[in-house]
Amino acid sequence: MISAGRSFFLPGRRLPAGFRRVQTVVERAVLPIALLVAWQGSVEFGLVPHTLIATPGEVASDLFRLILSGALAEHVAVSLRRLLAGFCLGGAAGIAVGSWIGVSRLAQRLMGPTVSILAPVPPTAWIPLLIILFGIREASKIWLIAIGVFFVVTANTVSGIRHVDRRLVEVARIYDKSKLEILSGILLPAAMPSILTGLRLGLGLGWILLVAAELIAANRGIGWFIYDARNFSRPNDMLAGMVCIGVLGAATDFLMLSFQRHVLRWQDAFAGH
Amino acid sequence: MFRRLGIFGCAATLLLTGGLSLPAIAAEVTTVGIGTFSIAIDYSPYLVAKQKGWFDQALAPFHAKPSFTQFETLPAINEALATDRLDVVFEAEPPVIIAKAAGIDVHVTDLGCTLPVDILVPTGSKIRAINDLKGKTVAVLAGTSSQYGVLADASAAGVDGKDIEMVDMAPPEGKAAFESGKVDAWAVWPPWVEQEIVAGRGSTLEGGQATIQSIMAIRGGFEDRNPKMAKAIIGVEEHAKAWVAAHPDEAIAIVAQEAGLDPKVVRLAWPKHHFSVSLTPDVISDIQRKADFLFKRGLVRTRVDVDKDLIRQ
Repeated sequence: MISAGRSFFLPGRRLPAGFRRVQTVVERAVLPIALLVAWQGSVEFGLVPHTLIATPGEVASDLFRLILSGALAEHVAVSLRRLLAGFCLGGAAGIAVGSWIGVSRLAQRLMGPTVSILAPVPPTAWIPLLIILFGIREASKIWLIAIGVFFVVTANTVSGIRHVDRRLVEVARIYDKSKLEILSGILLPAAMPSILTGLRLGLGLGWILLVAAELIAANRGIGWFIYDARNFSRPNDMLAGMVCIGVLGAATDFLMLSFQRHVLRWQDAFAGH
Repeated sequence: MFRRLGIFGCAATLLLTGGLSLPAIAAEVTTVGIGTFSIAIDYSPYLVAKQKGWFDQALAPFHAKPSFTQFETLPAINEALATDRLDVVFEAEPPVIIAKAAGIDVHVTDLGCTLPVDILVPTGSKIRAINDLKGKTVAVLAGTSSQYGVLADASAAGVDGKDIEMVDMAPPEGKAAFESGKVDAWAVWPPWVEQEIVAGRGSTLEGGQATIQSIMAIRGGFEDRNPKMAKAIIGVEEHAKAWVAAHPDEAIAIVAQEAGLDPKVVRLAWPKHHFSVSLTPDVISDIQRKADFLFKRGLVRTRVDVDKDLIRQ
């Protein structure tokens, strides 16, 4: 076990604060650097064909070109709009439906089986139906993301509510609190860790689905950009798009995690050794 | 005790010997990867040869056997070629141009069939001719002969390509969009075209001149190492083309069965397929126009000289 402030590489030795910061940076950079070296090496030594995989240097150069030309910003802006709309729609519907199923046995009987059957269906399998219902413009792309987010958030909301200590609800009933008051004052706050975890997972899934959504008659968006680059064997562009999605995904996850920590600041949770 | 150990020892030795010799036995039979993209009636010679076991017969003298794969996406074909997992492919010409532009070692070795580019419009549509497509939405898979054909035919009819909204859709999504009226037209190939016509949902526009060249391509490394095997495979394709042209009724039945299609659909599409074709200068020029189209639109970064770099007869 390594306690906080102790070196991972030199366990048992307490380091000065400045060294600890450097050490943190080094620890975080070790795996990405190792991956970059493995990537470069596998292309250089022909383990993967250069016709399909560009080197990190080529990808960095391409990324730089795409940033300077403004092409990347245009694709990213389009994708972020789709992701945000789909996430908000699916997240809000997931919390609402999940809360209803969580508090009402009738709702569980009415909706539970349908949700259980539909949840495992891969969201991409909905594409032909979404085209028929919502056409080939923005709506079908947003709905595809929303469907994926919806099921994850619903499942986590139901689970969160159903794991609330029954005694808290009984105390509220003794104080003559209404069902709405119990939901808003006790169940939802107590289920918040699970709901926020659902939203965080939903956001991650949203990025995955964005790529699938942008296969529907798109001509802009970072997912479409990757698809188009793969279609026309442009590995520089394809990997630059993948790096871009990775960075953006990590950034949105960081924002979500910060929001989660802020909302759950009352929690005295285990933060790792 | 010793006898029992001896028996176990013999069994273990036999097992080990057998296990070690397995890869050696397996290595004696070479597997030739043969692939196609999606479903298309222009692969009829290939489908007939596959069904009749002609590839197996041709490869048997080389201690080789074919392994057939139907790819559903175009990039997967080029990825399989680049990683030596696919040796022969039947497809239209743009994917192989894209592969060559990306530096993948592949050559066009034969022409299977030539057919016109079709543009479908819904039954009762006001679009009657290609110049009516101005301002309309057309579903088409980007980078295909169909996309090239729409732009080439539109240009010939005096319509600027910029005035047509092209939406990039693979055939299954294009079908959903077309049948639900979300697009005004759909540029696609048989049997998708004839399925809509037979169902009474669509008809094709007349007057287009653009064509699709359905080619057979062989991975360069495979051909260099196995020139006789490559020649035998080309021989199968040539034989199958002649047979298909001479026995249309039987070929239609085989293609319908192999591709899982309604024979009515195959029969309707049959007359537009020309199997008595070869890689003539005219065909090579047509493929070159498509290579230039892909390069000028920035879809590929290298211009392919078709005659010099791509064709190997």
